[in-house]
Amino acid sequence: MTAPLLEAADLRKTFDLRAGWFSTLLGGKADQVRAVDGIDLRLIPGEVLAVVGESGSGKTTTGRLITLQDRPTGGTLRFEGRDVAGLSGAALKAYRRRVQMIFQNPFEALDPRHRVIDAVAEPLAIHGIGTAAERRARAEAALADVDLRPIARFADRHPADLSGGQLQRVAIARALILEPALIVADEPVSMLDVSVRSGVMTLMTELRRRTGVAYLTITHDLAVARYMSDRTAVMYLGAIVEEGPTEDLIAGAAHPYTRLLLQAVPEHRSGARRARIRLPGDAQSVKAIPDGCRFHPRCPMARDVCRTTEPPKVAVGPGRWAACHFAGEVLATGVAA
Amino acid sequence: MALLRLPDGAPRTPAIVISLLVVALAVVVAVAAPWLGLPDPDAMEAIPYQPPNARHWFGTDNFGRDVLSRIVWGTRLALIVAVVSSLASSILGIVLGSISGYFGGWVDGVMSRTFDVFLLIPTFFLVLLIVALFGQGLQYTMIAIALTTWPRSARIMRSQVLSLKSRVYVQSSRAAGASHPWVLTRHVVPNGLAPIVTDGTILMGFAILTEAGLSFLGLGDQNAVSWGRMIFEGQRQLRIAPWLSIFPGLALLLLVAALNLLGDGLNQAMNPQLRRQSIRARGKPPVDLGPPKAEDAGAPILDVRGLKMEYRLPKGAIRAVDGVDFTLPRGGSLGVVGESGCGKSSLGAALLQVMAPNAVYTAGDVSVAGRPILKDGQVVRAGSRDAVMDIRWTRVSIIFQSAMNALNPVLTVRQQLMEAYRLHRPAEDEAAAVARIEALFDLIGIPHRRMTAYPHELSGGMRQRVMIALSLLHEPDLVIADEPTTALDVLIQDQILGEIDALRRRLGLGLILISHDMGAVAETCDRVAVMYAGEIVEIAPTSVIFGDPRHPYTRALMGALPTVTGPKRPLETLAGEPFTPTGDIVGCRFAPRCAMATDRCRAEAPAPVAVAADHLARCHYARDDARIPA
Repeated sequence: MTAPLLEAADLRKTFDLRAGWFSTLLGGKADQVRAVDGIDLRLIPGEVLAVVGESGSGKTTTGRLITLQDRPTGGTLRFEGRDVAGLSGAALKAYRRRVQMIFQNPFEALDPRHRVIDAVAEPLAIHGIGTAAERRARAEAALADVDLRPIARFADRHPADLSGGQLQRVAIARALILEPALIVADEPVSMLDVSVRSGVMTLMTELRRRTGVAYLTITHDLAVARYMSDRTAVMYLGAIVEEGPTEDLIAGAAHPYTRLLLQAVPEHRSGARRARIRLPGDAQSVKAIPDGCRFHPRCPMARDVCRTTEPPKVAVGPGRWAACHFAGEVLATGVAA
Repeated sequence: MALLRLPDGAPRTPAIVISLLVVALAVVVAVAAPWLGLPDPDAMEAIPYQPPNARHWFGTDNFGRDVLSRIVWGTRLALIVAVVSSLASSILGIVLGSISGYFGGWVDGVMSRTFDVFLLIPTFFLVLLIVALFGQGLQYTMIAIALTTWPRSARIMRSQVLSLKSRVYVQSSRAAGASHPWVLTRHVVPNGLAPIVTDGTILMGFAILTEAGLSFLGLGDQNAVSWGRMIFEGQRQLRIAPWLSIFPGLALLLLVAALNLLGDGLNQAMNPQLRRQSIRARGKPPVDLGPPKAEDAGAPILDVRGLKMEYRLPKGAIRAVDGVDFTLPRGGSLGVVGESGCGKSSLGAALLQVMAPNAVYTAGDVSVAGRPILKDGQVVRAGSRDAVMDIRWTRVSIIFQSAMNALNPVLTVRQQLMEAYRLHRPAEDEAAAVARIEALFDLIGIPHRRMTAYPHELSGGMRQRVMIALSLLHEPDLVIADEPTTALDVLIQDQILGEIDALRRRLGLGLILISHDMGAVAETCDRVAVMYAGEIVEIAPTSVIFGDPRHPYTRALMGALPTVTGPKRPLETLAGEPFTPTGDIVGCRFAPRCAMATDRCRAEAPAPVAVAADHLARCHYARDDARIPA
């Protein structure tokens, strides 16, 4: 078994909602939001894990915890065997050299006043690598790697002159230039048009093959997860409800939530319209995570046990599990609406 | 000025040009003062009290000194005061303001209170104190001005930094390992400087005025030539020698006014939002076709012929909708898809004449149920009223992309629906309005008790459903929905699309669904129009568009779509960049990105080719089966 690159166990992040001074005066307690509520993640070198969820599922916070932009309030986070949750100073800087990030909105991810070549070379400058000339040479090579050619056409441009797809390629070049072991990509293609989206996805996959970098790809789109990842973890209200090899999980999900997510993806291929499933109630909020199974208020299959008992992780296949009392049933027959 | 990166063409407004000229003249005069061949400003050589004459253009003063020369030398002092004190003030403000804003928390609490305290100290009071303690001198005046004005810059910088520090590129730099000072000095502060610079010019004017005021009071530097001192000395002889105070007064007025104007102008130039508001394009004049015709029950609900609409920008016109034709039968549904910038949203806005102020029609006819609302690119009017007013919201309604934020936050949902209802039907009583609204809430699946909620109490999905309710309020025949579900989660999106679809079937509603999401369109619409560079490049029944696309662009779009069903196949990618329809266009707009483009494509723009009776594709080779890959 390969030694894991990244290992999170029971990782938690709780935010305090600041109570108003008046309610504090009356003895009110600050509300807590459990944005990430005890998740386990494991990533081996060169692997791509997709974290899929809707807004409020905690997937973005998970990314921020792994890049240490936010600090976990519980659990452990280990990288290459060492606990990194409390890193600071030079050790934190060294960690950030190994773990890079790609952000969702390419139009805002680059400083509008800096030229493309400087944006790509900046991480090298931050870490004091090479001379200015060497950094420029490496940045040019990085631009070539992301197919921004001819380089002379892009190097001295400002971000405002580039399209969304080109900007995201610049962001990828910037993330790769330090040769990190892991890139956390937060919705890397969701802001891009369909026609350029596939290009960026293909590029990221190709770069991983060439450099051996691992990705943790955060997305709301199962179709993107399918084309970019080896394994998928589905998050709902701060917890992972199902995890497994992406292709298996998409072919037959074992958690009702995953099933519903898959059914909700509009299908352009067959002419036939799908039967739409109407969920009871609106999306729940992490401010009030339900007791028992956190999905039960919206689950079409919920029974009494779901309202009272939090489901354990049920293994449903090699490397696959789902946090559902009826995972085997869902896997076999789907969601009975 | 590279620091400011003024946008092209921005600073050429008359205000900026004139004020720049005045300021430049002042700088030249001040620098060149010793070489202008003027008499020594302190030499008392001439005859006193000479009115302006050929030798002394601005006359001489009570000691026989040349007034013009004194004004010129006074310019030096004014500019030194302006530059030094506003620079000192700005630097102090930038440093303290950015620290306060960037680190936040208690640091910010303590520091911003300090700014407030300093702002309360009147400049003159502080100067009097400093003069009393240290004696008179230009340096003390400048220190006093800087000490009382820096909190202005500090507060501007603080608010700039507060918003800049959460920018993605700042986070990105931090995530790459950059330290706080690195991020502050390279990304935060440089991007926040623009308003400080514009405020700096206004500050300069203020500094000059303050110095003049102090000199007028006799508190300035006694040895320097100052405009304020000249005015002070001249006012005693105002009746016998008005030129003594009028000329320095004019110089003061001109320079300060120019600096203020420059500040405003720069602000305008560097704030694109302010600039865009000022562009208003004028299209063809409206045409009056007399009282509206009776509705033609047999006519399609929407008929669009040769519609052209363009945005007028400083650099030229962009033809966002460039010759669009289609017909929508009653109860029909059309999906409009394409990349961002293809003109699909512009088309939606152009149909109902709700465009940006810099957009104009250049050609085309639009009629709703047989009644023209646009003829030959001219807005149709009846008397003093645009014909579109009679149908907008009542016959045809529109749901915008950002509709979720279009609700008024201080009114409950029910109040807003009531208002909208009674606006168009003032005669009906409240009971009828309530009944209609309750029926709508049933329709969109929101419980009645939620009607009294304020918009912020509803989730995004609920608010979007309220917007749908609002669009259905007057039982329209047609709804134009521009990305109605784009900001929503998949499950909610699915429900809302399902609701729109069900309503459409139940009410016989026509629908135009503008979306980048092929899946959403495929499931909701009977027909699909694919737009590229302002044109519809292919239009056909949904099953044909997805099953037998004939335009290479449509095929590329289909091939690039990831899917969660069926076998996983490699995705196609589309090279190149979208085409911007501007200037003279030769050949097919898609040719630069088309893998199959021929010389003919590059030379000749394709007309729509009829593949079948209800299938058009704008490609020379649309009917050439040999060229269509299986």
